[in-house]
Amino acid sequence: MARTGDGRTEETVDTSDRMPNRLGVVSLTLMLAVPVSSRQQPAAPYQAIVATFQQAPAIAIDRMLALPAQAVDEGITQALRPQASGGWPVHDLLTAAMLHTEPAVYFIDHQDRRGVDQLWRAQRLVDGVLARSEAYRWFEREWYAEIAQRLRNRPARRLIIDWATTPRSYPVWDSYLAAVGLEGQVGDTLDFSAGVNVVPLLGGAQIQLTKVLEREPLFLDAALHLGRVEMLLGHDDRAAQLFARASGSTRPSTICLARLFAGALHERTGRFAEAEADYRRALAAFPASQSAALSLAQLLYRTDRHTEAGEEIDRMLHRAAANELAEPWSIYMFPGHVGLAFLRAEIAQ
Amino acid sequence: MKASLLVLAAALLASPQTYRGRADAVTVDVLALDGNRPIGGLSVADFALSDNGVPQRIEGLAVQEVPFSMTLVLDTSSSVQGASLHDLQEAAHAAVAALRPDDQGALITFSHLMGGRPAWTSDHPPLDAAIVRAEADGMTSLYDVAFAALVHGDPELGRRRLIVLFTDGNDTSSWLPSRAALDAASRNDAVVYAVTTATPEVRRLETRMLMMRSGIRLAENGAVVESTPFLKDLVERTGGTLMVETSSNHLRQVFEHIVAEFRSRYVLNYIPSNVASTGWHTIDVQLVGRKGTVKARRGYQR
Repeated sequence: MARTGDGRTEETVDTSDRMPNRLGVVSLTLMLAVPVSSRQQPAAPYQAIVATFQQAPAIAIDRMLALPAQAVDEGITQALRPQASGGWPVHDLLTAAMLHTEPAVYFIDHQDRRGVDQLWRAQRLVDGVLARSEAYRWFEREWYAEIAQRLRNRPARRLIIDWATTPRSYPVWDSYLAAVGLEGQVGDTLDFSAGVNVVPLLGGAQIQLTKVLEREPLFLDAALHLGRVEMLLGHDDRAAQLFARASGSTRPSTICLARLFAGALHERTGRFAEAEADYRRALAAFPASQSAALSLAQLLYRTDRHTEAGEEIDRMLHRAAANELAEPWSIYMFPGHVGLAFLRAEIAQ
Repeated sequence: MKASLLVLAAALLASPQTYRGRADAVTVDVLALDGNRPIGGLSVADFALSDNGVPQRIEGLAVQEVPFSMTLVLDTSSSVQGASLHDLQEAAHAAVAALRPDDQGALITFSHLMGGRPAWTSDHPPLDAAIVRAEADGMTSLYDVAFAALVHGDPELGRRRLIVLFTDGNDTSSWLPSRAALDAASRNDAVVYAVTTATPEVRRLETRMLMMRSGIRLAENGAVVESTPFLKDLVERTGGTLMVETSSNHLRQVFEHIVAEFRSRYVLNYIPSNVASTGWHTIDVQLVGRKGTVKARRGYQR
């Protein structure tokens, strides 16, 4: 069960007991239990509905489901046109994809065929984003991985057999997952500080991630991970270059973590002004990040700016109390398992 | 005796504010013990205090009636599910109930993310409601929350600060290294009482693992992971106590004991003289002319 923004709980995919995500997927249980026809639905065009999704997801989904299917499909067709012809910006397309994904998951979980229609619409939007820019490949991979995870071993699978029998193949993604697995094993290795040799694990991850980047230079999540591996190996200059590269990502969480690592490298060598600038950029890229707020506050505190540090912590704790924190660091080791809620948080930044 | 303490307390209530108003004043929260029992009725003359080995003149002493701010910091990671969470909630309710009308409380729950009700309040119902809402899930970012709790100060001047930190394990997922929280503890006048139900094996083992920690270092000579026992170091820097429990069964009594013991502490104020104005200052507090031991912060950073 995961906690939603309003404190309710709901079912999510059981990926791991370490799977972190406090921002729950929109809770549709109560909402969808009521037939659409019995609810008062103000008419709203598709684009206006998508625009309300980030602020009021349940309402947006409700209104989208109340629209005739033809109006939704025409809205998507309009959205996917080239921007010069009135098509939408990429960010809005991603938002629309999530608007359809969340009810798709709910309906499929409840063996309701409406889920298939919603899934196709979401997929159409995701594919449309990629047609615009390869820089959003990260979203496609995480989205497909999440959907595949949710469909695995579910009775609902027969509902989407056409979809499931044409899975997308990502050789580079598989290599990336293997490398991240090696990186994760370092964390579970005893006596890191006492000098037990973790270099083979890190070296394995280093080789794999380097190959991934050679095959797909725009795969900047791999640059981020390789940067951390180099940092742990003590190659700070190489790490700094990779963090700079990763900060050019279109993915907010990747930018945030790349800036945080880069800031930590600066801070370690006493370049506090550069570190502060990095931390502030990290927070700007992903304002819901607990780690970014902590890094900035920590730097302010150690440099005797106690009042500013306290204010930064107060802001962070205020967001914490409202369940508005989403932490890039806690999903770093779980590519393919970040969860729909985190994907939604990504595009909300 | 009680009447005299009240008179003394009333006279000294303004004292911490006076000294805290001076940038160079130092406040030291002190627990005097005879065995395990707090010693009451002490005065300035009963203490000797040195700063970097130089004897100092204690300007003021405040006693238990001084109101304080308590931050309850509760580990709600996935391992605290079930009976442990229930016991922890009961203990937290008891700690809130032990607050007096002039005291303030705040609640921070944590797994890999923080939550709770961090806004300061003297009203018990909002704190109790937040305690009831706590759910157990996720990893344990102990260093992160320790830093946040230390820096999350009550803006009201003159209040003593108590942090009651409960965890059932070690850090597994912090972004900040332990050094960040320990350094903050050295620059802070909050007193941390830590309560843990983790076994010594778990505490010793996990401290040495990187787990899901970021691996960042804040200084050139810093270790990727520190092998020192974090909670012990944290409480000793602040003059608090580490309480190791074998189960969650007695957490309620432990939390009640912490609040009661904190009330029996003394707050000493002094203006450092004949010592350097910057750098690390080691503080030593002793009882004069009587048996007993003293717990106080190790020092402070200027």
